[in-house]
Amino acid sequence: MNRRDFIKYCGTLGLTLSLPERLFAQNEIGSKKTIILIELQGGNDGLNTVIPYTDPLYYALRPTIGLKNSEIIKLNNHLALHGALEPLMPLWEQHQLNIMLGLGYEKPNLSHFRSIEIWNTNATSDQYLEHGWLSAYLEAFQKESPLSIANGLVLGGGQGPLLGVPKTLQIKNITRFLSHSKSLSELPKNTTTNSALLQLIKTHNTIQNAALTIKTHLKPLQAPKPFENHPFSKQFALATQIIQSDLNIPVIKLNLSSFDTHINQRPQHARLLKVLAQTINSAQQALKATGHWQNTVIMTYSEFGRRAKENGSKGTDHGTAAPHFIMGGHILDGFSGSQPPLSDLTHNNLKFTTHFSKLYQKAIAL
Amino acid sequence: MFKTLVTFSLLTLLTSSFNNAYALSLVNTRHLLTKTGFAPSFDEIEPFLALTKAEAIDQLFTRQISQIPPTLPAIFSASYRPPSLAFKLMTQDQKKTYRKERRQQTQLLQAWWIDKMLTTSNPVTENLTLFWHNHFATSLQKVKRPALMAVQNQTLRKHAKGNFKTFLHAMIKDPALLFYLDNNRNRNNKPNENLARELMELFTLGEGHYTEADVKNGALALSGYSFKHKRGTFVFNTRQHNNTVKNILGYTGNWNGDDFIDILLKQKQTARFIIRKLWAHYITTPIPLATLTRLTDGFYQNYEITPLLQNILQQPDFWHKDNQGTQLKSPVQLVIGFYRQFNLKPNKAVQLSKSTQKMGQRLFYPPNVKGWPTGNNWINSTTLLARQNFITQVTRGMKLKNAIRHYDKNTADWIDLIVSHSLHKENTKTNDHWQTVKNTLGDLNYQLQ
Repeated sequence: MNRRDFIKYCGTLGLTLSLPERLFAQNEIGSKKTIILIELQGGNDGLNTVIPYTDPLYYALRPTIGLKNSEIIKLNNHLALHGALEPLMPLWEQHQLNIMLGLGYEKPNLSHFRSIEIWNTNATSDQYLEHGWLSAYLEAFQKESPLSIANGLVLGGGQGPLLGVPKTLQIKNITRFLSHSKSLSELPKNTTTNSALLQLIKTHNTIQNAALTIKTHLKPLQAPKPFENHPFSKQFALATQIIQSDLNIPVIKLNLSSFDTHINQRPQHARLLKVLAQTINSAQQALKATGHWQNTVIMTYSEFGRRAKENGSKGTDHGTAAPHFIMGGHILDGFSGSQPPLSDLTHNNLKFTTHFSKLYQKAIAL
Repeated sequence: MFKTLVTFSLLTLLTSSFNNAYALSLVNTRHLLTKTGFAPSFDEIEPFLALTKAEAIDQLFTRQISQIPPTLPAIFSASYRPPSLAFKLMTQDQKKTYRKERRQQTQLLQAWWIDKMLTTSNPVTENLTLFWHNHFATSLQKVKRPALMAVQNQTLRKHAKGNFKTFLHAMIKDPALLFYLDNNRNRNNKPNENLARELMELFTLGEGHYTEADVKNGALALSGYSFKHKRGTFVFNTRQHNNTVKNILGYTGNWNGDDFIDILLKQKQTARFIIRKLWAHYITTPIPLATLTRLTDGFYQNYEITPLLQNILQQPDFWHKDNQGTQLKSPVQLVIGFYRQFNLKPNKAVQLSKSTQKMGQRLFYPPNVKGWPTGNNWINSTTLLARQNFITQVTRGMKLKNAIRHYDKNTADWIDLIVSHSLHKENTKTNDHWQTVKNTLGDLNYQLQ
């Protein structure tokens, strides 16, 4: 990709930015930018993640699940973080955490599956697209680094924003991946119109292409603060190890699930946010220790937020707008966008204030 | 086996010279049996070779109709889970024992179903039970009570090829589903929308065919549909039911959950949605609009599943070469098909469930209420390696080799049939039957059906 292509590409995403020079580096060696995507699967309750704690309407809408003053960390005069997110505070204090408020889209769809598709493909509510929002960015990467082992790596959940991206690896257990890949035979050259067979052949080739390089270059994980034993933490530990090994995979996707809190939300939501924050904290320390933090961007996303008004089961039903986090070694502002007011709801749902693609633009531009 | 194989060759010879226009070929028979069940052994293929397509399709659905459905082990006859209060009062050791027991029950249940799929003489029913498990996807991850999942599995089996109307009425009273979608917490004045939404989005209409108001009113109609925690049986708590007038999809009245189901079945879209999904289960190319309209008109009359399936299988599309060997086998189809095809018995059925889990299909644990993403989505760098590793393991042992040893030159048809899976037939087929089979299994085409 040359500068002109890149500018053209930025245009399609609605980006205006100063171009980061390192995107055009020809050198394959060394650490390059990695975007880590964290999918909060099930629909994270934004109002109990970033809490408008001075708004009496918040407590009126959420008599049982509303978080009390003792359960929150105040960030300014009207917004606070869920107390379980305490491990994110060092990032906040170092201006390395940006909270984007009120993310959503026009005509919100309340289906898990349709809404995440809209987010994944950067589509409008009535548009059906086949490629993940990162495919243009990664096409550019592929041109720049044709010899890279993979354009994307999925360590948890589905392909999501990497949908349709060639050379996408999906790894659950790295040891098993490396040992099993030894038994793959050489594939005869083949052309076929059979799409299922093509999927098999492509995947086979992707594995063969990547396995040997990973095997020879993978370094042991260096983590000053050990990762938790949660499946999500294990994903993040592997992501950290891969970044530390300079394998030059531009996007790594992780997944933390069980955010669909229709009943007894309090304990479950707190547990999930705690795992999220602790794990990010561990990863940040590890990546900082090896000098990779500067080139790392972490962002969260979810199919939707939850209903502002709690339901009858001490939980929340599917909703609309929600805040998301973007973190990294570059200095960031505290908040961007504006908190959707609780006084202006549609069927007890928030109105989004910022389109979610702003989050994507920021992740790419940083 | 050897003797019968000789008869086959004669039979194929006869049918091919005299009856070519009517009789099924080996390849077509395998296609029909694989798609509607699991990859067949030669013994399973035999009775079909003399039949026409229509007769074969008819046979599939009528031959074992009198069969007694498989019964569950006694351990699952009563539900199993202490009330949550008692669980809280348990000591750490008691909790540990309880969790261990639950794990054992889960494995027992998985092994039980695997065994049914391996040994059944009615693969059509097991194949459809698996299809409906993926349709009314419910996961033990949340339900945590193997007994309830066992009951649901029997319900799925009972209605698998029966009447969709009866089926749907049974499913909204299924304790595992009610629990999975939080309807036990859906009470008068305290509605919970989870079941109402998924019922319309995933079980009947499909996304985009209902409004948010329908979801809210549907939830009110379903309020009070719960189950007795101790006995694990359905209960309609009338006192927790919302007795107001609801408007759902244009119908106004004081509806309950069963009324809601009837309203959904009045929508032609429900028939269309189910037909599309069943079509994709058997056929890779999309359903032509005219076919969809015709099938919908029929199915919508009475929602009988068997005539619909027979109708789908009779379409030329089903037999077209574009729809043979162009669909990824699900992990369960791959594993069960392998054992059935070669008449092999695994040492432990539960091992097979671990194999399918590594390939991305853990029985009774679909990833979410939408079920497993099927088709090409089965394949990624992790699951493909798991599949190839499974093949490596089963071809390493002596079991398969010994089974092949009994084949001899009269099994030429059988070997030809196996080889027809391969990408490069000329490289795959050797004079050594064992080597030929091994090559075939290692071929990527073996992952397809």
